[in-house]
Amino acid sequence: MTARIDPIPKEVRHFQGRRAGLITRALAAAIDLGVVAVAMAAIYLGFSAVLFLYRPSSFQPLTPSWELTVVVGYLVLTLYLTASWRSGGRTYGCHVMGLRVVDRIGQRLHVASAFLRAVLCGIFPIGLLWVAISRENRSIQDLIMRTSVIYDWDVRPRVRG
Amino acid sequence: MEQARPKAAKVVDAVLGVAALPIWAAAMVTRGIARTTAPIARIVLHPPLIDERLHPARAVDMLANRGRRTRLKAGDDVQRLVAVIVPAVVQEVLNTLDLTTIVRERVDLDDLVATVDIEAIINRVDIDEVVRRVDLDAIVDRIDVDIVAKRLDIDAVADRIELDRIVERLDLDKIVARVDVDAVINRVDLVALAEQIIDGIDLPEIIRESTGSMASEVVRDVRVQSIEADERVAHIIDRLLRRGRARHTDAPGEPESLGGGSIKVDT
Repeated sequence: MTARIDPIPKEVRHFQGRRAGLITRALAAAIDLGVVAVAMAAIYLGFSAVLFLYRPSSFQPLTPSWELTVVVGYLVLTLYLTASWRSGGRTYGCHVMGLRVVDRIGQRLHVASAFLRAVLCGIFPIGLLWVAISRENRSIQDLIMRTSVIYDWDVRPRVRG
Repeated sequence: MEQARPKAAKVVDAVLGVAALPIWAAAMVTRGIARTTAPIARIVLHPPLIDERLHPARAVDMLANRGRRTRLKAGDDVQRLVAVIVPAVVQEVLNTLDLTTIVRERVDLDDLVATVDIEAIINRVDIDEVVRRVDLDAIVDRIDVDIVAKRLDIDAVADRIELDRIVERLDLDKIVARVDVDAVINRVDLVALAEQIIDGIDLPEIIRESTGSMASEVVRDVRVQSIEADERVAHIIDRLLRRGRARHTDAPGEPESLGGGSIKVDT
């Protein structure tokens, strides 16, 4: 029997556990894109540093093709989303905005579900806009994967698994 | 009215005076006759030269004695007769009379009571003896305490109680020493109580204000504002789509609502 102080402000406790709306999710997605961009930059710089150390005399700045950048970026995004949703149910963007991704019974996503959802999000990001139309605040990916993105400001996950 | 009474009395007195005149005259004539005939009666009753035993006076004395005996006897009979008749007659008279009304109309009770020395009566009553004869237990048994309690003005009683004086006389240390504090604490749901207190004073807000960093404040504000924006957007879309019912946003596996506050969204 232990008492616990609810750290969430009174005015938003009502929203905790409910499906999030478009703006919050879009902001979280934007932050995640920023994270991926930073990761891409880190990869680029890291790869350049390795090449520089390997052949310093013949080193030239890398100029990857647009297609390669998109493919790598897509792979990084998918990996990042899968790992984040599987591990804590939230990406960094979700963490900042106080969101969490749960499955149809309110639990953390299985790794396969997390991966498939990440793939769908990368292929069809505009599916997020369906949140504004949906009566249940669900994106296209949510409808396909039967997942939900909920407000969850608590540091500890509301879900088990 | 008051002047008429002496006049009437005077008239009555005059009538009585007229009526008394023949009686007075008769009395005077009788007295004169008696005075004139007294020597003759003396000679008749006591004739000279005749033996005293043969005097007519002796016969008169004998007749007088007999008459007296007869009178006495008749008096006794009358007394017996009166003793029998008078109570019956009085009883009959009393039955026909409404004495209460008569007393009420004819007797000035106030005046009568004013003459009574109530102080002297009270002094003669032995109150202790009266009280000693009262069976208080029987009286108390007959009292319906519930009815008495209903008629009591508890507020008025409470107003008259000087609580300060009572409290001053209480030995609180002694009372507290007799309280089983552990038992009291065991009966209190301390966790629920603590949660209620924390809820009431909004402890999280105090902690945030005292320890929260600038960054966490900014994040909180962004989150709150984004929730408001979510609500606003949803409201606009629902209005455009002419939806009457609110969105079903309850999360899976969660209770319908956690209750509590809400954010007002101006649309």
